[in-house]
This record gives sequence, C-alpha cells and structure tokens, in this order.
Amino acid sequence: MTAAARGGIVSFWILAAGLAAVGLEVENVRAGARIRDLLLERDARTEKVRRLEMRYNRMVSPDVLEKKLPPEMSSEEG
Amino acid sequence: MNAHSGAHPAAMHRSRLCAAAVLLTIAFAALGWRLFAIQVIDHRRWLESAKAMRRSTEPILAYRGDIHLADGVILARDIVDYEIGIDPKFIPPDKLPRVVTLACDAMGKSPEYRRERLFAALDKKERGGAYAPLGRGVSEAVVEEIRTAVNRILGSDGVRGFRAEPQARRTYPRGPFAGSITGVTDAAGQGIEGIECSMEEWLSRKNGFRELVRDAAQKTKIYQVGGVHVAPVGGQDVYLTIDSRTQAIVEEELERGIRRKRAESGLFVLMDAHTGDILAMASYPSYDPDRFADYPEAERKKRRANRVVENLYEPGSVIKPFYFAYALEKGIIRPEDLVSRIVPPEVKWDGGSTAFFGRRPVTDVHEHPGMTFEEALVHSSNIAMALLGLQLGRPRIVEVYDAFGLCRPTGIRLPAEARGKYTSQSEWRNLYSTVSVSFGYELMVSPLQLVTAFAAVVNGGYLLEPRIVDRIVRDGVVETLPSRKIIGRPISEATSMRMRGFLKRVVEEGTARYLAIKGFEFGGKTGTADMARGGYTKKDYLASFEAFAPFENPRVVALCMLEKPREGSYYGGVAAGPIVVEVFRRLFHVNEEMVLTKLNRLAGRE
Repeated sequence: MTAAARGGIVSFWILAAGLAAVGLEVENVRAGARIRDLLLERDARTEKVRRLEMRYNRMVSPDVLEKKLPPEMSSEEG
Repeated sequence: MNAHSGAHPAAMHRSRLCAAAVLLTIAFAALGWRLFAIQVIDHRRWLESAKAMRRSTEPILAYRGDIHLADGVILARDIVDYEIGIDPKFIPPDKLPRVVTLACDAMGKSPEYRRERLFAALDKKERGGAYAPLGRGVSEAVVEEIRTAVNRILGSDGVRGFRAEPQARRTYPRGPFAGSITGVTDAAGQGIEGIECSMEEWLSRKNGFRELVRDAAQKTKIYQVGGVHVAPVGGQDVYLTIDSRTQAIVEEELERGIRRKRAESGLFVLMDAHTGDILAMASYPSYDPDRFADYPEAERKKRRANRVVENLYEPGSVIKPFYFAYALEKGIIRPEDLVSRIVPPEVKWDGGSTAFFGRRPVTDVHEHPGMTFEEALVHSSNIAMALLGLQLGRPRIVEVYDAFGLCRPTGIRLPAEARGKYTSQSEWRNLYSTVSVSFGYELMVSPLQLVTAFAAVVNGGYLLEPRIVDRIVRDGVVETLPSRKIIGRPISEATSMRMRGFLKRVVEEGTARYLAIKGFEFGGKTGTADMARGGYTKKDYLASFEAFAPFENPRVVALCMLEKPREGSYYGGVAAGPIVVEVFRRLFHVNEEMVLTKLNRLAGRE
C-alpha cells in the first residue's frame, strides 16, 4: 500500500470520527432541548391538574350540596 | 546560473528554509505553550469561565402544602403565575414605550400604572439596568399573548428583551369561608395567621433548580443530563377536623344571629364531645384571606383575630356548671339541698331576689323561695352560686380551674392562643372576689377553654385536648394526629350524667326554656356578662350559650357568644341561644315545625 493510500484511509477515519462527534453533539443538544421542553410541559400539566382539582372541588363540596338537599332536610334558606 | 552572484543558491535556499523553520518552530512553540497554559496551567479558570458563559440555572417551583377541610374541601392552595418584566438593554428607546404599553394593556392595568412602569423602565435603561418589572400574578395565557406581540415588535431581540418568571402564589378558593381558621401568608409566602402560621413547618416549601446550557445565540436552553438538578421540596398537605357542611351552617347562622341582634361581633365553636375534634369554628367579623392585604389597617385589626382562640372574656354564668359539677363530685353539695342551708353570717339573705354579701348586693332575676342547688343551676341563681363560692373558698375555686383546664392554653394548633387569668392571691379581696368569680367575673377565659371544659362536664368527665389538625399528607403518606387525647378527669361518669340531666332542665324549664325543640332533647347553660370598659357600665353585654346534643349520648358541644347585642334582649338565652338551636336543628335534621313557636319569634322568623 502506497503512502498516499495509507494517508487517505487515515484521513477518512479522522473525518468519520469528527462527523460522528459533531453528530453526537447535535443529538445531545436536541435531546437536552427536548428534555427541557418535556419538563416544562410536565410542570404545566401538573399546574393544570391542580387548577382543575380546585375548580371541581369548588363545584361539588358538601357545603354547596347542602343547599341542594331535599326540602324536608334543608332549611328555608338552603 | 551566475557563478559570480555570491552565495550558492542551494545554500541560500537552505538558510531561508532554516530561518522559516525556526520561525515556524517558535510560532508553534508559542502556540503550543499558550495551548498548554490554557489547557493545563489555567485549565480550571478557563473552564469555569466557559461554563459561566454557557450555563444558567432555572428554578423548579415547589408548591406550599394545601389546607383541606376533613372532607377534602380545599381552603388554600398554591398556583403558579408569572412575574413579567423587560430587559431594557435589548429594547431600543423608540420601541420601549410600545412594549410597556402593550404589556400593561394586556394585564388590564390603569393608565397611571402604565405611566409609572414606563418611567421606571426608561430610568432603568438610562442607568444601564438589566431588569424592569412590569407586573405580577400574570396568567400563562396573558404571558404568551405578550410574548408573541413583543417578538413581533423586537424581532430576534424579543427573546432577550422580555422576561417571564414563574412564581407560586397562594390562593384561597373559598374566600372568606373558614377564613379565620385558614389564616393567611405574607408576600414572601410565610404564614402569618391561622393554620398557615401554626403549621408553617409542615406547609412550607423549598424551590429546587436545574442547570441548563445555552446555545451561542443565548436563545435555546438545553437540559444537561448529568448536570446539577436539585429537586424541589413541596409542603405537606394539612387536613383539618372541620367539616365543611357544619362549618357552612355555623357561619351562616352566626352571621344571621349577629345581624338580627345588631351585635358588634360574635363567635361560635362546635366540638365533638368525645374526641375533642373541632367540627366548626367561626369568628365574626372575619376576613377573606385573598383580600387580607387590601383591608385598611383598622379594619384588618378588627377582623384578623380568631376570637375563639385569641380573645379572653369574663364568661358570666356559663362558668357555673364547672363549680357545680366540682362541688357535686367532691360531695360539697347535694342537688336537692336547700341553698339557704349554707348562708354564712356575713351574708344577709331572706330568700328574695337580692342578697347582701357584706355591703355588696347580689341580685337574681327572680325570687326563688326554698331554692335547691339544682334549681339554682337551672335558673342560674347568682346568689346561690356566690354562696357556693364562699363554701368552696379560693383554693378550691382555683382547683376547679385547674381541673377543667381553664386559664391555661389548651394546646390547639392555632397561633396566638390566649392563656387566660384570674385574680391573684395578693389581689384577691376575700368576700368580693369570691362572690365575683362565682358567677364568672374577675377571671378571663378563652371560648375554646370554655367549650373544652363544657365537653368534660357532659362526656363522662374527660377533659380532652381540642384538635383541629386531623392529618398531614405528603406524597400519599398519611400521618394522622392522635384523636381523643385525655388530659384530665375532673368529674366521674356518674356526676357527668347528673350534670347532663340538670343542663337539660335548663332548656326545658330554666333560663333557656324558649330554646326547647319538640322531640329533640339537648341541654345547655346560658350566660349574660356585663362587659368591662374601664368599669362595668351595664351597657355592653356578652351574651353566651353553651350546649350539648343530643341529650342521651352527647355527640357535640357548642358555644356561641355575641358581643354587645343592641337589638332587643341581650340575655344569652335570647341573643345567642337561638343561633345554637338553629345549628342543632340543621345539623341533626330536625324539622322546623318542631322548634317552638316562641323560638321562631325570637329568631325573627315570624
């Protein structure tokens, strides 16, 4: 094998390793950005669920139901 | 090639090559040295500098614990909204007013507010400031709306020019409902009143943070796997013993009763007679925790106290059952004994409605010739109780307070609990003080102490520690606080049973006879105390009624107090009693027709 051919093979591998490193870094950045998006999304969903719980809680709590009791069980005002 | 041109060309080339090689070697050596210095010698410094340029941290919000009622009703919860602001460095001066106006309009702020924020932002820009806040408590939807509009105005700089930081904000979805129990937090999120204050240790939270890496344009933030990530520590959820339906009834009836009697203020507390659990607690006027900071200072002062726990009162006649039960327990009196049997020489009493204790007259509302001690309790005779007080003497009177837990904190998990007090040995004027304390003066007790002691009178004689926090929950792990904590046994079951009978007679034929409910038996004791304002003026009264129900097996004890009732009668049985009866009626589903007509009239329903 000539020196040129050997040089060519080495260059190819160096280039391949460089491209792989860049590719991995890009993937790392993408994954990092995606993970952050997912974390924010999770926080937003948690918040949404908490707000919904609060809203539902307001609607069905017993002190509200008290006002919907049958007439014989409720007072004149409720 | 010219042989006479001087040096040989090959030698010349070699020397040039040598020079170039030396120069290159020096250059590469310098470069190498620099690289070595950066990578090895100053490695740490440069690494930190590079990290600092790329890295940032992002807070992870933790939620303060919720406050729930026993049945799950949410009284307090953290929600996340945003504080928005601008970085004037990234906003050209000509666009600054547009951005501020847009943000303020989206938040629905007034022109004055907008102007003030604009001046502040311009000032920040002039001084090279990095952040000018525009508003707090902004919802996510509004933030997105503003962000889109700002991006349109500023283009690529919009990302850096506009900031929105999430922050947890305390909300009270029930408003004023159970407000004096729930309490409130300050601007920093620390409890300053009510359960928010007393349970701070459990409710408090600690934000976490995560490390992020920014791209070269500082636009995209990237999460780094393996980077620093400190998890937030949320508060624990606190569940109270209060039942929402009962609390709603109590608040409604108390407010109605106070309006009816045009009283200055009032309170109501309902306790489970056998466990000491507080089922409802209301103090009027109270406050809406969501609007706590908006009340004017004087108004806030008036509303903030939970009167049941923090206030002290001279209780008046509602104290009498404790002396009576104690004397009965110790065999000092028998209910059927005539009161006249124990009249000492220093007392002049002919059986009429006035007696003279030394030179001090003590009066009863009615004459009760041949009155027994049982009748004395039923008709709330001041004369008989003063005579009993003399029979007991100060040491045993103090023993009564100790036995029933009066004038000492109950240990309830609410802040600023009042201790109570009675006249000290050195200030005790023998005849005068003994007579006064016998019908509830010269001692200050909190309503909570009274209702706890009253529970001991009717529940078999067990003095219980009142409990308002039922359980604490964190991540599904439940820690239930002990219920029915017995802290004393002032009287026996037999004495307690007899006391229940006497207190039932109070409702059937005594001072609370207007309050009887047909087909529903309960017992109670009325009290009317002259409120001291520098002296006893006979103008301001404290109307009280303590009661238990049902008679056979008491499940609840209640205490209602109205301060300074101005409309109609100020007597405890008439002013405070109907409120308790209405609560019992609704609580035990007693039909309205069963309540005697006279009570209906008293309650203003006819």
